[in-house]
Amino acid sequence: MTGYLEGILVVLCINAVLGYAAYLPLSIGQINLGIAGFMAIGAYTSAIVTNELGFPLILGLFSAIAVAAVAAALIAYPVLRTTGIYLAFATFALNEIVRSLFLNIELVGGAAGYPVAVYSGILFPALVAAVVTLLMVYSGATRAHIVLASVRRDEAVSDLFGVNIRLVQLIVFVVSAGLAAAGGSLYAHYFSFIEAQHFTVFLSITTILYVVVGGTRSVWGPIVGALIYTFLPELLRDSGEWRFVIFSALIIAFIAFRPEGIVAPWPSGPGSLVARWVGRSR
Amino acid sequence: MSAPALELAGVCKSFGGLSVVHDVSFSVAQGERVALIGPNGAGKTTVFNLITGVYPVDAGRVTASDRRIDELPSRKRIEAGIARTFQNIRLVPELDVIDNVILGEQSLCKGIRPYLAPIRWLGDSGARAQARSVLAEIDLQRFDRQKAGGLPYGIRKQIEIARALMAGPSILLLDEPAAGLNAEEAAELSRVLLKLSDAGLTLLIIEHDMHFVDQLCDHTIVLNFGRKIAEGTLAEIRRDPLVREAYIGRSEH
Ligand SMILES: Nc1ncnc2c1ncn2[C@@H]1O[C@H](COP(=O)(O)OP(=O)(O)OP(=O)(O)O)[C@@H](O)[C@H]1O
Ligand SMILES: [Mg+2]
Repeated sequence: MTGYLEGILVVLCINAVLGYAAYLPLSIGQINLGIAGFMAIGAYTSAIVTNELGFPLILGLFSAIAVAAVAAALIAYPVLRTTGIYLAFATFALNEIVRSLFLNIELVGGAAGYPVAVYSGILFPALVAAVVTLLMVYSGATRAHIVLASVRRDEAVSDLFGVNIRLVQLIVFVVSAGLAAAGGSLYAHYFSFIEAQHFTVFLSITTILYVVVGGTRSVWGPIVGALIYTFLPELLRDSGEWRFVIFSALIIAFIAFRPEGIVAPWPSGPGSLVARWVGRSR
Repeated sequence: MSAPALELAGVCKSFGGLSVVHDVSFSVAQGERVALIGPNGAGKTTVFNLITGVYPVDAGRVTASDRRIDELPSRKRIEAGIARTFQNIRLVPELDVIDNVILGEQSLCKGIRPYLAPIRWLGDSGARAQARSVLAEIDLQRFDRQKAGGLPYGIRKQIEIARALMAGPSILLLDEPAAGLNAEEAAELSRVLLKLSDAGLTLLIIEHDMHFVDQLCDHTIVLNFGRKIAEGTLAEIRRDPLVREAYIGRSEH
């Protein structure tokens, strides 16, 4: 395999794992802009325990997930008291706090960045992405899927039928953080160098965007989104400067005409997309 | 005699100074079929919301089979055997009918185990089998694999009943179940509800369709401006001057 192709495939694996981190909050109607922050926690944790403590790769991954999950559980109480746009702001702030923390920790090189000694190759990220995907697809066939969809649609009714909304939100927040951290760990060990500047809110937003394009109502949505997000810019490489414009226009078109994403039932009959769009804006 | 399935005593509720439910008391015996009627805005749906805990009561008590429930969090009241439907349909449109019905069972799912089974892949076993049999009880099993959002109004109303039945309630609160049904569908629905009632289910039904109430209910409670103004058989209610005034007084302005 050429280095170029291998690089793209690893990015695809990382994007898929990150995609699921964004998908979970979206599946209950939450926008969590702190994903890149938890990714940073995962990347740095994994780098530190392998560099400084001599942990093997797999323990680096588990440490990353554990530390991010505990951090998420600790911060969940104030963050999850907010809803809607305020939750987006709160997680935005969280992301920037985490990023500036790493920017100022001497042990990990501060702004100069932090080299990661243990290198993963492609097999490890591929395996992790496969396991994450399988687990998510499995969970999509369980009752959890029904509960998440119901919480997104109508919290009050879900509550009346016995769903513990706070608990669901907490679990989603913590699992999402753990997945983002797994993505961070994969990133650190493939690219062998991490710097706090990489983990901006912009990265969280981009992740959310491609998951929205893929679809937030099916567990396959993040995979399709990650595929598009990873390969489309490469396919458009010949269009030079324009490729990002084309890509952005595509995202806008999706959000306008197809907010449920690619993986969801498509309306049949010509013109029905437009008809539905017009119908929605009543 | 056993304790009433449901009892309200002196229940009050106001929203921003506007008294919407005032000193309402009534009780529903085990196995009884009771109608709650009244003009638009009388406070009927609010009474359901107070029973199920959507809002806390300002004053008064709600008990179910001798258990005080008005202090329970809304999420726990279904465990006291009270399940309901909604006046404006509140299903998850993007989920299949069967998944909507399975949600009704949520209060029975304790711990992690119920979440581990891949019910979608298991075909006709466990939760899906049960949901299908509940759908069959009200003759809706043919819709099980369809998205709830695409179905006609009357069907969706009945899917809400199936979802509520999934919780295994002892009392079912129905908010205008016959609204949007034609005469034939309404007659069919009342047959289904009678069957459930014969099997021991207690029914409290908000309904504007008096023919439906007549067919189904043995006792009627009338609300007007948040107060209970009459109670009895439908024949008694019809003769009640206060009730006549409430209905006629409203329709004349
Ligand atoms: N959450 C709320 N906040 C403020 N006012 C409310 C609220 N819920 C109900 N009301 C008011 O309380 C009154 C009674 O409403 P309710 O929905 O209980 O009436 P209803 O008897 O069910 O009427 P309908 O037959 O039209 O369904 C109405 O005036 C309504 O506007
Ligand atoms: Mg009402």
